Parts: sequence; C-alpha cells; structure tokens
Amino acid sequence: MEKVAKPSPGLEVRRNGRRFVFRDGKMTAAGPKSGWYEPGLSASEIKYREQLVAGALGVTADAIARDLKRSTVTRLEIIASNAAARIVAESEKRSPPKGAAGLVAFFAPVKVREQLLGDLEEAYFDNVKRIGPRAAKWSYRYQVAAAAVAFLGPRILAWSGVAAVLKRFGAS
Amino acid sequence: MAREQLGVFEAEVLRATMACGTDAYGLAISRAIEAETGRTVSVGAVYTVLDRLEQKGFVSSRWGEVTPTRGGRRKRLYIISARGQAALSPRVGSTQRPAEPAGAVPVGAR
Repeated sequence: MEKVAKPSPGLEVRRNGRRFVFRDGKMTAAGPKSGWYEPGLSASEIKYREQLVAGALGVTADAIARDLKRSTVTRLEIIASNAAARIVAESEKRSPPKGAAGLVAFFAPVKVREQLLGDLEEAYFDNVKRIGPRAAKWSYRYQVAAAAVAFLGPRILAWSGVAAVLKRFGAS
Repeated sequence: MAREQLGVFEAEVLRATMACGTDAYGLAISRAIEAETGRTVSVGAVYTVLDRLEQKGFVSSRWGEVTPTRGGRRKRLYIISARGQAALSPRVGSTQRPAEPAGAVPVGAR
C-alpha cells in the first residue's frame, strides 16, 4: 500500500468570494489568507487530502471519476469545491432572507440603515434559537414590511396631501 | 416657551429609552415597550420616532460597538437628554394608573 505524506496544517478553499479551511476532518470559514491552491503540492499529499475530504463528505469514487471526465480540473479541486459549495448553501439556509434585507436599503434613510439592519439581524438570530429558522425568516420579513410602512407611510401621506387635510381638520 | 407635545408612542419610546439606560438601541427599546405594554412594536417604527425625538432634542445618540450577531453592523445607542426627561416627567406612570373621575375625593382627604 502506498504510504501517504503527512498533510500540512490546513487546506484552503475559495468559493463565492469566501474562504474556507479544511482541518481536522472539518470544513470551516477561514481567515483572510491567500488562495486555496498550494503550488508544489506532492501527488501523495494531494491523494491523502482527497481521502480526508472524500471521507468527511461521503463522496464516492464514481462521482469523482464522472466529474473528471467532463473537466480538466484536478480531483482535489472538484472535491474541495463541492465541499465549499455545501457549506455556502448551509450558511445561506441559516442567514436572514436576502431579498428582504435588500428592500431595507431601498426604503430606509442612509442614517438609520446600518443600525436597522443590525437590529433585524440580531432579532433574527435570537428567533432562530427560539422559534426555528423558518418562522424566524417570516418574522424578519414581517419586521421589514412594518419598517417599510413606518418609513414610507408619512412620505406617501405628505406627497399625496392627505396629511395636510388631516392636520387642517385636527386629526394628527 | 411652550412645552413641546409628546405623542403617546413618543412618550413610550422615551420612557423605554430611559429604562434601558446605557444600552438603549432600537431592538432593546422595542423589547422594553413590548414588555411594558404587551404590544408588538416594529423596530422600524421605533427608529422613526427616535429620529423625530432626536430632532426635537429629547434624545442624543452615538455609535456603539459591533457584535458578531449583528453581521458586523454597529449599534446606535440613544440616551435621554435633560429636555427629554423634563418633557416626560408629568407623564411618568400615566399609562399604568387610570385617570381619576372628575370630582373624586382622594382617599384619606376626609
């Protein structure tokens, strides 16, 4: 049996602008370091890392072979890229709804945008622990809609002239 | 100078800001109002009122620290000013205690 080299501290992977490191059988978010590909990596070390990553992810040898036929990228790149994609998908599943967060930038004034988005995110992660991710997402969307009403309502009233009419007749 | 009027919700926000002390930011204030009144209050509504109160000089604000749960965004911490306390002082406790009917005699007055 071929003897494999001892791996270096961690394998870095880049995906969707984010960096991940595979270390001790786990893939985690990495710090701001260089790209994932290490020049001069020996064939035996690549194989050892493949075994580690494939073992951790449950990737079959057939799936890797299929990918290799279609592409010129190395085995390691495919496995690492799949692993990173899975982590990105998992983290996106847990993050607040992006569309709703984008709406905040549309209606909230610049001076309250940062604190409002921060508060909504803090409330979201509290709710994830308390009521679960699905209900937390709906709560987040509701809060964004309520904020839209709070910020846009007075502007629409002022623009339409309704506020002036109400003020004239004593209703504020 | 005529005293500036405070709306009911403005007074609630001001009271909650005072109750939160040094850690008064939008979410904490909305939670304090919820705890006091039992009503769900949106953070956006709290910020519109806080902005108005700041313009009136009832509160002042400064940037707070970044925490990991906020996605790297800072808190905006509010503190009630002397003018805000003065505006609030006749109202403190007004929502907890119902108004006495006209002509009612206070207990122990006879």
